[in-house]
Amino acid sequence: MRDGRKDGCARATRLKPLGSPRGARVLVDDAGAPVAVVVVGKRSSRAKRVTAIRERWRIDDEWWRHPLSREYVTVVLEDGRSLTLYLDRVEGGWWVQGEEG
Amino acid sequence: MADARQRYARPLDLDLGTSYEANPQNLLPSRASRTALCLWLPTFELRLELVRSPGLDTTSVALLSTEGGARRTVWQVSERASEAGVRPGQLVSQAVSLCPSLTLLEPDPSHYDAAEDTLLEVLSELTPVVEPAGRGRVFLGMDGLGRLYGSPPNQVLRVIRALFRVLPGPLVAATRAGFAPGKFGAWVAAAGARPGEPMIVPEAGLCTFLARQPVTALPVEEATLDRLERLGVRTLGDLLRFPAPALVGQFGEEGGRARAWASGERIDAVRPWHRPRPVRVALDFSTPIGQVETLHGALDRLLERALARPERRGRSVAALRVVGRLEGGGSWMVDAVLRDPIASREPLAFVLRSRMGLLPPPRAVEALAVELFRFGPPSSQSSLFDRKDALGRPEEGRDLSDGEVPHSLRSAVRELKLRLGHSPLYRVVEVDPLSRIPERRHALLSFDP
Repeated sequence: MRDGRKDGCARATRLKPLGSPRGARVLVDDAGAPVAVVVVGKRSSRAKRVTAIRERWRIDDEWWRHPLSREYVTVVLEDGRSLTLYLDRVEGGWWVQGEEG
Repeated sequence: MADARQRYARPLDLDLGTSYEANPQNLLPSRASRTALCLWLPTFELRLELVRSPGLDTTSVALLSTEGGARRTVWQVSERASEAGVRPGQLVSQAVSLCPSLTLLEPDPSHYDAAEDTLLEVLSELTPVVEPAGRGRVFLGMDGLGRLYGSPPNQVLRVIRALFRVLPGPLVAATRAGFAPGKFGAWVAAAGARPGEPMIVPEAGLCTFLARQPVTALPVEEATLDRLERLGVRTLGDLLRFPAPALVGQFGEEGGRARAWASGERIDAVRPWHRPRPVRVALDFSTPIGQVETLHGALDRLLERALARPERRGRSVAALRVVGRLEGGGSWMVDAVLRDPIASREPLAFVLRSRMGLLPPPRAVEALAVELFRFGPPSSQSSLFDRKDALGRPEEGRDLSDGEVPHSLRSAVRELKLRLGHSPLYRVVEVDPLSRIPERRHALLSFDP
């Protein structure tokens, strides 16, 4: 595989995904609701407490090739930021998909 | 009186924002120094030339001004030439008619700048507060150095010894030194000192010392000095006879400032000088180049290289210069200070070409260098989308047609590619906008118009 940084043609035609999920460590309560979140790769790796859950929804798709099942939740953190997380029900693990504020 | 005016002919640029009243309770900004040592090497450039050509030391010599053209003037003159009536600012023809044996020297600005840099470098080893005030004059902040170097005379001695390490002996021997509270006091002391005999003005003696000095020492307008002389004000002590409101009434704010300096109430602290490391690129020609078009082409290539240098770190350019090494010795230099910092080649080249048109190299050039020596803020991202046409005029009120890329954005990408080797910008493209999976709706595509 060639390095895209050294190959202008490869770079010009290559698409970079926008909004790729990032790994997260999430502490959940007995009901499976997030109570604290650490976003992997952030400079501050301190756990942030979840103060509210705004919304929950679920996606099940592509069952015909690579089944995809995600449980989304939008939470409000102790510093006021809003975070959209999902639990990957196929592969396991929590991911951050969006961040506001 | 004319002699006194001559002595203080070089204006003293005291920043009006740096005044601190004599009350020691007033806190200085960190690292600013109330106690100042002024080192003054009169006719610094001419003395450097005489060091380079010792045979001329006993002859009548004049250094030509850096401005070219048919009506060239004399910039600095040796003592012998001065005795013959040659004065700075005279036309060359006048000077030669007054002193037929006068030797005229072409200026070599890059040589003088190199010597000045050496001077500042060695001084900054002695004190962290070094503030240059034009070639050949520098202020040193001496607060707290007593513990290291002892009494004020010992401090001055230490500084002069350091100069002997890096500058030619005859040049250092001609240095005048003044040690006093504030830059004004130190400058007046240095201007009145004899070479090799530093003048030390203690805090308690500042007012008495200043009162004896000629009024021409004040860094005020020439017209103000003329009026003061017509009013019979000869010394700074004479000036203090007038109450501050009367001086302000006569001369405006300048009158008030003049009184504050004369009375020692106003103390200008020495502030540490920060000079960003310049970005310099050079080009040697195999044969000396005299054609302007060829020099312009070389200038374009040098600017491209200078802007692509990583040490520019994305900063815009606020001031730059072209330096040429001339055939047969000497150098030529053109400076350009920009009103608004720029980070693209074309406008920078335009400014330098205009300056070169006004001050062309007097002879063919053997080597050309471009130096970016003052920088502005990094070019902000918002300016990428601040639409301007090819001539730099803002384009407002017209919608872009589909796929059209504004000129400003196109030139910004070109500049980024020069610096990074590739375009770091991306265009957001729709992939599957209705997908339930967020990361599949849009993607980034490399943007390289």
